[in-house]
Amino acid sequence: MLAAAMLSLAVIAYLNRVESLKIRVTYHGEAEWMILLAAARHSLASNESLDVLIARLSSAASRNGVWLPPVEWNSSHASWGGNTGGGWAYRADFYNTSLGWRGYFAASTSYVLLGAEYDDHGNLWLVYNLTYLHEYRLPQYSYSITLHPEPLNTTCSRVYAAGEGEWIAKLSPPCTLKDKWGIAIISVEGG
Amino acid sequence: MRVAEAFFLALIVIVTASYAAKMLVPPQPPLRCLRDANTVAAWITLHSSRSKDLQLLAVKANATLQPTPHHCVAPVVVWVNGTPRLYTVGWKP
Repeated sequence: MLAAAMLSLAVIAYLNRVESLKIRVTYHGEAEWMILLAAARHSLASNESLDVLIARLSSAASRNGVWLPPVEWNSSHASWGGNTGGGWAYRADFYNTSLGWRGYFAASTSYVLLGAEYDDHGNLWLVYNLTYLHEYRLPQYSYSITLHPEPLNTTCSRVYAAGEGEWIAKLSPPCTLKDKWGIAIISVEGG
Repeated sequence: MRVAEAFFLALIVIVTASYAAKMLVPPQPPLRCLRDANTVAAWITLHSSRSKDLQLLAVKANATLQPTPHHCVAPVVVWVNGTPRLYTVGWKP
Protein backbone atom coordinates (compact mmCIF):
# COMPACT_ATOMS: atom_id res chain seq x y z
CA MET A 1 0.00 0.00 0.00
CA LEU A 2 2.90 2.31 0.79
CA ALA A 3 4.35 1.59 -2.64
CA ALA A 4 1.01 2.39 -4.27
CA ALA A 5 0.77 5.63 -2.31
CA MET A 6 4.30 6.66 -3.31
CA LEU A 7 3.65 5.76 -6.91
CA SER A 8 0.46 7.84 -7.01
CA LEU A 9 2.28 10.78 -5.43
CA ALA A 10 4.95 10.46 -8.11
CA VAL A 11 2.30 10.38 -10.83
CA ILE A 12 0.61 13.49 -9.41
CA ALA A 13 3.96 15.30 -9.17
CA TYR A 14 4.77 14.37 -12.77
CA LEU A 15 1.37 15.52 -14.03
CA ASN A 16 1.79 18.77 -12.15
CA ARG A 17 5.09 19.30 -13.93
CA VAL A 18 3.61 18.50 -17.32
CA GLU A 19 0.69 20.84 -16.63
CA SER A 20 3.03 23.66 -15.65
CA LEU A 21 4.82 23.34 -19.01
CA LYS A 22 2.22 25.40 -20.89
CA ILE A 23 1.96 24.40 -24.50
CA ARG A 24 2.05 27.62 -26.50
CA VAL A 25 0.68 27.20 -29.99
CA THR A 26 1.04 30.30 -32.11
CA TYR A 27 -1.09 30.65 -35.18
CA HIS A 28 0.31 32.57 -38.14
CA GLY A 29 -2.08 33.41 -40.91
CA GLU A 30 -4.07 36.24 -42.39
CA ALA A 31 -2.64 39.01 -40.24
CA GLU A 32 0.95 38.24 -41.22
CA TRP A 33 0.00 38.02 -44.89
CA MET A 34 -1.85 41.31 -44.58
CA ILE A 35 1.36 42.91 -43.34
CA LEU A 36 2.92 42.02 -46.71
CA LEU A 37 -0.08 43.21 -48.71
CA ALA A 38 -0.13 46.44 -46.68
CA ALA A 39 3.53 46.96 -47.59
CA ALA A 40 2.58 46.67 -51.27
CA ARG A 41 -0.26 49.13 -50.74
CA HIS A 42 2.14 51.55 -49.06
CA SER A 43 4.58 51.10 -51.94
CA LEU A 44 1.84 52.18 -54.35
CA ALA A 45 0.93 55.16 -52.16
CA SER A 46 4.47 56.35 -51.52
CA ASN A 47 6.13 55.39 -54.83
CA GLU A 48 8.87 53.74 -52.78
CA SER A 49 10.30 50.48 -54.06
CA LEU A 50 8.56 47.40 -52.71
CA ASP A 51 11.99 45.76 -52.30
CA VAL A 52 13.12 48.59 -50.01
CA LEU A 53 9.91 48.54 -47.97
CA ILE A 54 10.02 44.75 -47.54
CA ALA A 55 13.65 45.01 -46.39
CA ARG A 56 12.64 47.60 -43.76
CA LEU A 57 9.65 45.50 -42.80
CA SER A 58 11.73 42.33 -42.39
CA SER A 59 14.16 44.21 -40.19
CA ALA A 60 11.37 45.63 -38.02
CA ALA A 61 9.67 42.23 -37.81
CA SER A 62 12.91 40.61 -36.74
CA ARG A 63 13.43 43.22 -33.99
CA ASN A 64 9.85 42.77 -32.75
CA GLY A 65 9.79 38.97 -32.96
CA VAL A 66 7.09 39.02 -35.65
CA TRP A 67 6.98 36.09 -38.06
CA LEU A 68 6.59 36.92 -41.75
CA PRO A 69 5.77 34.35 -44.42
CA PRO A 70 8.90 33.27 -46.35
CA VAL A 71 7.96 34.54 -49.79
CA GLU A 72 9.30 36.07 -52.95
CA TRP A 73 7.50 38.92 -54.64
CA ASN A 74 7.19 40.98 -57.79
CA SER A 75 5.16 44.02 -58.67
CA SER A 76 3.96 45.83 -61.76
CA HIS A 77 2.49 49.23 -62.42
CA ALA A 78 0.99 50.49 -65.65
CA SER A 79 -0.76 53.76 -66.43
CA TRP A 80 -2.31 55.28 -69.51
CA GLY A 81 -4.21 58.35 -70.68
CA GLY A 82 -4.20 61.91 -69.41
CA ASN A 83 -6.59 64.66 -68.30
CA THR A 84 -9.38 63.57 -70.64
CA GLY A 85 -9.41 59.97 -69.45
CA GLY A 86 -7.19 57.08 -68.54
CA GLY A 87 -6.30 54.88 -65.65
CA TRP A 88 -3.69 52.75 -64.00
CA ALA A 89 -3.29 49.26 -62.62
CA TYR A 90 -0.97 48.02 -59.90
CA ARG A 91 -0.36 44.50 -58.73
CA ALA A 92 2.06 42.94 -56.26
CA ASP A 93 2.30 39.15 -56.00
CA PHE A 94 3.77 37.30 -53.03
CA TYR A 95 4.48 33.63 -53.45
CA ASN A 96 6.36 30.60 -52.23
CA THR A 97 6.23 28.02 -55.00
CA SER A 98 7.67 25.17 -52.93
CA LEU A 99 4.99 25.65 -50.26
CA GLY A 100 2.25 26.50 -52.75
CA TRP A 101 1.48 29.87 -51.18
CA ARG A 102 0.24 32.78 -53.26
CA GLY A 103 -1.31 36.08 -52.34
CA TYR A 104 -1.55 39.45 -54.00
CA PHE A 105 -2.63 43.04 -53.68
CA ALA A 106 -4.05 44.70 -56.76
CA ALA A 107 -5.52 48.13 -57.29
CA SER A 108 -6.86 49.77 -60.40
CA THR A 109 -8.72 52.81 -61.55
CA SER A 110 -10.14 54.15 -64.76
CA TYR A 111 -11.68 57.52 -65.41
CA VAL A 112 -13.40 59.37 -68.21
CA LEU A 113 -13.84 63.13 -68.48
CA LEU A 114 -17.55 63.90 -68.63
CA GLY A 115 -17.25 67.66 -68.90
CA ALA A 116 -16.10 70.88 -67.29
CA GLU A 117 -17.78 73.63 -65.33
CA TYR A 118 -16.91 76.88 -63.59
CA ASP A 119 -17.93 77.78 -60.06
CA ASP A 120 -19.05 81.22 -58.84
CA HIS A 121 -15.44 82.20 -58.25
CA GLY A 122 -14.42 81.37 -61.82
CA ASN A 123 -12.55 78.20 -60.86
CA LEU A 124 -12.51 75.43 -63.45
CA TRP A 125 -13.80 72.03 -62.31
CA LEU A 126 -13.27 68.93 -64.42
CA VAL A 127 -15.97 66.29 -63.95
CA TYR A 128 -14.94 62.64 -64.18
CA ASN A 129 -16.68 59.31 -64.04
CA LEU A 130 -14.36 57.16 -61.95
CA THR A 131 -14.09 53.50 -61.01
CA TYR A 132 -11.63 52.48 -58.30
CA LEU A 133 -11.09 49.16 -56.53
CA HIS A 134 -8.68 47.17 -54.40
CA GLU A 135 -8.28 43.41 -54.39
CA TYR A 136 -6.71 41.45 -51.54
CA ARG A 137 -5.97 37.77 -52.01
CA LEU A 138 -4.76 35.75 -49.04
CA PRO A 139 -3.63 32.14 -49.46
CA GLN A 140 -5.95 31.15 -46.59
CA TYR A 141 -8.97 31.86 -48.80
CA SER A 142 -9.92 30.62 -52.23
CA TYR A 143 -11.24 34.01 -53.29
CA SER A 144 -10.10 37.62 -53.22
CA ILE A 145 -11.63 40.33 -51.07
CA THR A 146 -12.62 43.40 -53.05
CA LEU A 147 -12.85 46.83 -51.47
CA HIS A 148 -14.07 50.06 -53.01
CA PRO A 149 -12.16 52.72 -51.07
CA GLU A 150 -13.77 56.14 -51.06
CA PRO A 151 -11.69 58.93 -52.61
CA LEU A 152 -11.23 61.83 -50.21
CA ASN A 153 -12.77 65.26 -50.56
CA THR A 154 -10.24 68.07 -50.42
CA THR A 155 -10.21 71.76 -51.29
CA CYS A 156 -9.67 70.81 -54.96
CA SER A 157 -11.80 67.66 -55.14
CA ARG A 158 -15.47 66.80 -54.65
CA VAL A 159 -16.54 63.16 -54.80
CA TYR A 160 -20.06 61.73 -55.15
CA ALA A 161 -20.99 58.04 -55.02
CA ALA A 162 -22.43 56.73 -58.29
CA GLY A 163 -22.57 52.99 -57.58
CA GLU A 164 -20.42 50.24 -56.11
CA GLY A 165 -16.86 51.40 -56.74
CA GLU A 166 -18.10 54.14 -59.07
CA TRP A 167 -17.78 57.82 -58.35
CA ILE A 168 -18.39 61.18 -59.92
CA ALA A 169 -15.30 63.23 -59.11
CA LYS A 170 -14.99 66.95 -59.65
CA LEU A 171 -11.43 68.20 -59.67
CA SER A 172 -10.17 71.77 -59.88
CA PRO A 173 -6.72 71.53 -61.52
CA PRO A 174 -3.99 71.17 -60.50
CA CYS A 175 -5.30 68.47 -58.20
CA THR A 176 -4.52 64.94 -57.03
CA LEU A 177 -7.40 62.81 -55.83
CA LYS A 178 -6.27 60.42 -53.07
CA ASP A 179 -7.73 57.73 -50.86
CA LYS A 180 -7.22 57.33 -47.12
CA TRP A 181 -3.96 55.44 -47.62
CA GLY A 182 -2.49 58.27 -49.70
CA ILE A 183 -2.80 56.46 -53.04
CA ALA A 184 -3.09 58.95 -55.89
CA ILE A 185 -6.17 57.95 -57.88
CA ILE A 186 -6.24 60.79 -60.43
CA SER A 187 -3.75 63.59 -60.94
CA VAL A 188 -4.78 66.43 -63.21
CA GLU A 189 -2.35 69.07 -64.30
CA GLY A 190 -2.85 72.67 -65.30
CA GLY A 191 -4.64 75.49 -63.61
CA MET B 1 -7.10 -5.47 7.57
CA ARG B 2 -7.42 -6.47 3.94
CA VAL B 3 -10.65 -4.51 3.66
CA ALA B 4 -8.91 -1.39 5.02
CA GLU B 5 -6.01 -1.87 2.59
CA ALA B 6 -8.39 -2.28 -0.32
CA PHE B 7 -10.32 0.82 0.76
CA PHE B 8 -7.21 3.01 0.98
CA LEU B 9 -5.88 1.60 -2.28
CA ALA B 10 -9.15 2.41 -4.03
CA LEU B 11 -9.11 5.89 -2.48
CA ILE B 12 -5.59 6.52 -3.76
CA VAL B 13 -6.51 5.30 -7.24
CA ILE B 14 -9.63 7.50 -7.35
CA VAL B 15 -7.76 10.61 -6.18
CA THR B 16 -4.91 9.99 -8.63
CA ALA B 17 -7.29 9.36 -11.51
CA SER B 18 -9.33 12.48 -10.77
CA TYR B 19 -6.16 14.60 -10.72
CA ALA B 20 -5.02 13.02 -13.96
CA ALA B 21 -8.36 13.67 -15.65
CA LYS B 22 -8.32 17.29 -14.53
CA MET B 23 -4.76 17.93 -15.66
CA LEU B 24 -4.92 16.28 -19.04
CA VAL B 25 -7.52 18.60 -20.57
CA PRO B 26 -6.29 19.27 -24.13
CA PRO B 27 -5.35 22.87 -25.00
CA GLN B 28 -7.74 24.98 -27.07
CA PRO B 29 -6.99 24.58 -30.77
CA PRO B 30 -5.35 27.66 -32.34
CA LEU B 31 -7.91 27.73 -35.15
CA ARG B 32 -10.28 29.50 -32.78
CA CYS B 33 -8.21 32.60 -33.54
CA LEU B 34 -9.00 32.46 -37.26
CA ARG B 35 -11.08 35.31 -38.61
CA ASP B 36 -13.77 34.76 -41.19
CA ALA B 37 -13.86 36.57 -44.52
CA ASN B 38 -16.08 39.38 -43.22
CA THR B 39 -13.81 40.24 -40.37
CA VAL B 40 -10.74 39.92 -42.58
CA ALA B 41 -12.27 42.67 -44.72
CA ALA B 42 -12.32 44.84 -41.59
CA TRP B 43 -8.86 43.57 -40.71
CA ILE B 44 -7.50 44.91 -44.00
CA THR B 45 -8.34 48.44 -42.94
CA LEU B 46 -6.41 48.00 -39.70
CA HIS B 47 -3.19 48.23 -41.63
CA SER B 48 -3.04 51.95 -42.01
CA SER B 49 -0.68 54.77 -42.72
CA ARG B 50 -1.90 56.73 -39.71
CA SER B 51 -1.60 55.33 -36.21
CA LYS B 52 -4.67 57.22 -34.97
CA ASP B 53 -6.70 55.29 -37.55
CA LEU B 54 -5.48 52.07 -36.00
CA GLN B 55 -7.07 52.88 -32.66
CA LEU B 56 -10.38 53.82 -34.29
CA LEU B 57 -10.48 50.87 -36.66
CA ALA B 58 -9.45 48.40 -33.99
CA VAL B 59 -12.67 49.28 -32.18
CA LYS B 60 -14.68 48.79 -35.37
CA ALA B 61 -13.09 45.37 -35.92
CA ASN B 62 -13.95 44.39 -32.33
CA ALA B 63 -10.26 44.31 -31.46
CA THR B 64 -8.11 46.25 -29.03
CA LEU B 65 -4.53 47.46 -28.89
CA GLN B 66 -4.24 46.24 -25.30
CA PRO B 67 -4.72 42.49 -25.46
CA THR B 68 -5.88 40.89 -22.25
CA PRO B 69 -5.18 37.25 -21.32
CA HIS B 70 -6.90 34.61 -23.43
CA HIS B 71 -7.39 36.97 -26.34
CA CYS B 72 -6.15 36.06 -29.79
CA VAL B 73 -3.35 38.36 -30.86
CA ALA B 74 -1.92 39.33 -34.23
CA PRO B 75 0.59 41.89 -35.49
CA VAL B 76 -0.53 44.94 -37.45
CA VAL B 77 1.72 47.36 -39.32
CA VAL B 78 1.39 51.11 -39.57
CA TRP B 79 3.64 52.89 -42.09
CA VAL B 80 4.86 56.28 -40.90
CA ASN B 81 7.06 58.20 -43.35
CA GLY B 82 8.20 54.97 -44.97
CA THR B 83 9.02 53.32 -41.65
CA PRO B 84 7.00 50.32 -40.48
CA ARG B 85 5.70 50.37 -36.91
CA LEU B 86 4.39 47.06 -35.65
CA TYR B 87 1.57 46.85 -33.13
CA THR B 88 -0.09 43.91 -31.48
CA VAL B 89 -3.85 43.77 -31.72
CA GLY B 90 -5.93 41.43 -29.56
CA TRP B 91 -9.51 40.26 -29.88
CA LYS B 92 -11.91 37.80 -28.35
CA PRO B 93 -12.61 34.78 -30.56
